[in-house]
Amino acid sequence: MTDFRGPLPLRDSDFAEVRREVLAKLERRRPIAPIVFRVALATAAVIALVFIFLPRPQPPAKLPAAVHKTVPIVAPPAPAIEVAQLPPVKSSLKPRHKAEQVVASTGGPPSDTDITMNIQTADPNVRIIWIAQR
Amino acid sequence: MTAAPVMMDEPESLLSSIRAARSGDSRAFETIMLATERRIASLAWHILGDAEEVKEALQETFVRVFRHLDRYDDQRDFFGWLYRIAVNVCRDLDSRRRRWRLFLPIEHAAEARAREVDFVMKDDVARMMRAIDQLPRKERFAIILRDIEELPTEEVASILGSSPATVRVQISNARAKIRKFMESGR
Repeated sequence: MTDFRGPLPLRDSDFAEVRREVLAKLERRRPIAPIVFRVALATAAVIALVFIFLPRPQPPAKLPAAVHKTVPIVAPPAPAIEVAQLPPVKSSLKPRHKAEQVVASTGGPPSDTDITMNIQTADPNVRIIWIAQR
Repeated sequence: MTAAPVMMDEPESLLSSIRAARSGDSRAFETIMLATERRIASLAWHILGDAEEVKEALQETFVRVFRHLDRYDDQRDFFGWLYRIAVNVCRDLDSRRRRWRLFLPIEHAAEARAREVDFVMKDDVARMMRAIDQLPRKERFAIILRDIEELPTEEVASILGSSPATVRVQISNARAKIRKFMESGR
């Protein structure tokens, strides 16, 4: 059974050829790795040196501390209390609630018994009008 | 290339060549090739049955051996490890050949079959070869390693990545099929 295919059909020259091919293949492969490794290593070294020795751009000089001091934004002081000096507010907007309706309906100067306080807030769109009896 | 054939019966000299080859000594690797090439070629010849494919298998086996030499454990049998690689290479070549056979033109395939039949009818050895070639791959590899290469069942199992029990079953099936094939031709 061991000889079922007959003798091995390869001669010594065939074996020599195989060995030669194998060694040539190995030689072709081997130098690639060290060359690639060396090139990669050299590139990494150059990049590292460039990072170390290259002058870096200076950060912008710091401004004096005073400049950086935050200025508190203060709402413009509202006029304390204007008593019956402002002209009556005429609004083109439809009154939305009763209190405004009262103000809107007063129209003319307030009576002597009323005190009107017109307070301007920091928001120009918001004005507080307070009407109280004396 | 010019190295004379050497016989390395002493495992220690083979081991020292392996160690030297690992560190890139191509002359040491050539020594390993000289010591093992005939056994590998014989195995490939039994599996493949084609001289050109045997040369191809031999070359690919040695390239793989060199590439994976670091993985070889010195404590284990070198020939077992080598056979495992060679069997894998033969398996790849065998698969490729079967794929190509599917694409043969019909008239070529018919001609080839007629030639094979004629050859098979010549004598018992040829019929035996034909019987082995017709076995499923696992059974074929098992019987070639066990009955032709005469390796112990445990080693065959290790090479094929199977259990010894599986290999025994495969060999038993293969023998039965070969016997049947041989009897049918008489």
